[in-house]
Amino acid sequence: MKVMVIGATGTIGSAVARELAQRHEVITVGSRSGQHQVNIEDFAQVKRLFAQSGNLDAVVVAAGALHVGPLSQLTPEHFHVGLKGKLMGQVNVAMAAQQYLNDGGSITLTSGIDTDHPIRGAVAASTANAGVQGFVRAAAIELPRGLRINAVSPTVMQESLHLFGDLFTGFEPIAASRAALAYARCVDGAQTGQVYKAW
Amino acid sequence: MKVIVIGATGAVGKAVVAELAQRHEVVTVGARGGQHQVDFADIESVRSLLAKVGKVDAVVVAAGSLHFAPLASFTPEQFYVGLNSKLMGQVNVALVAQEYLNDGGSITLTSGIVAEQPIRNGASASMVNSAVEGFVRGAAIELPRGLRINVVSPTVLQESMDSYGPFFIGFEPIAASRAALSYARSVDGAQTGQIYRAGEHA
Repeated sequence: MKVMVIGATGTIGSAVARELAQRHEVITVGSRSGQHQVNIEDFAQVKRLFAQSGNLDAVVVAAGALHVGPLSQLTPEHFHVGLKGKLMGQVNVAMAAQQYLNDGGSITLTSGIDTDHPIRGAVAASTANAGVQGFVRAAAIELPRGLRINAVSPTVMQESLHLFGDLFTGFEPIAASRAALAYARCVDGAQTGQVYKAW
Repeated sequence: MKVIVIGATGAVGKAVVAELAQRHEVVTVGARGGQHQVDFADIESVRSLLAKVGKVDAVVVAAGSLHFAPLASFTPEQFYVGLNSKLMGQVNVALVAQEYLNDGGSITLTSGIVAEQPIRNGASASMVNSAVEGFVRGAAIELPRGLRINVVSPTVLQESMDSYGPFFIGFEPIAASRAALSYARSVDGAQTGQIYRAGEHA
């Protein structure tokens, strides 16, 4: 299979690229590095990326900006960081990918454990991540040609504990290589409309 | 209790007002009707509404636009109809309401059955309604002073079958007065961070 991984230089994305490269041809995409660059918030750029890459069997996104901060200080603009980044950035990819995916191909997006298990300071993230999961549930029933779409909802990564550990006290971190298995289930499996909980 | 109902002239809102007015002082708010008007997609409009109404014990929102279209033809702009209205409109109300609610007061928002049970043409509706639920779960654990926040997820209403019936074939419609009971549980009850599914077999 030919698989594009967007966010391929991040903690999760690089583990996903390694996992998938064992069996598949992987195209790595990042915002600044990788084989191709894209700002997923810009729909025109996303469409150009797919026009360049040609037909694919799977697209994985492990990317998207989120704002973290206490509820009492949040403004609408803070919410729009995640709506524009993590939510619509990934939706842009899903919308543009449809016409470039081979029959039976798959789209795999990323939400996060805070969708179901809220943590302090993450309400804007929970909002955007829940939106991603809702989109996946609905898009799954309308995609043509056996195309599939799923989401992976990861907990905090062992590799990211130095950055996010304080937010996730009491949550059991997992290795990015374990989270990558959930993405492999989406790409190599046959289900659609699922949220794979990697925790 | 003093309760503001935003969207008070809609099918759900009217029934919520009728239910709550049996026990509470209800302030009705609509986009064009009601005792006060608000454009809740604009947080400044929400701020001036609450500055006029003053302290309250509960805020209920049953309002918000959504765009329905086949997935294949959806544009980012069409997704933003619901994100700016039904999602951020309700988030704006919740953000502003925090400082006007008395201790133990409540915020009740509205999602919809398609958050969990998708329908054709409903990609934006599922996205937006799920996001509202995510917001409520997240906000519930951070609100101070015993403030509570819940969301009601109604199925299609009997009163709306003329317009929405074709989208919801096989869904059992419920009377708006039954959906209103879920809002009453949120306002008069004591839970927080809950999703009350009005019309689903829980």
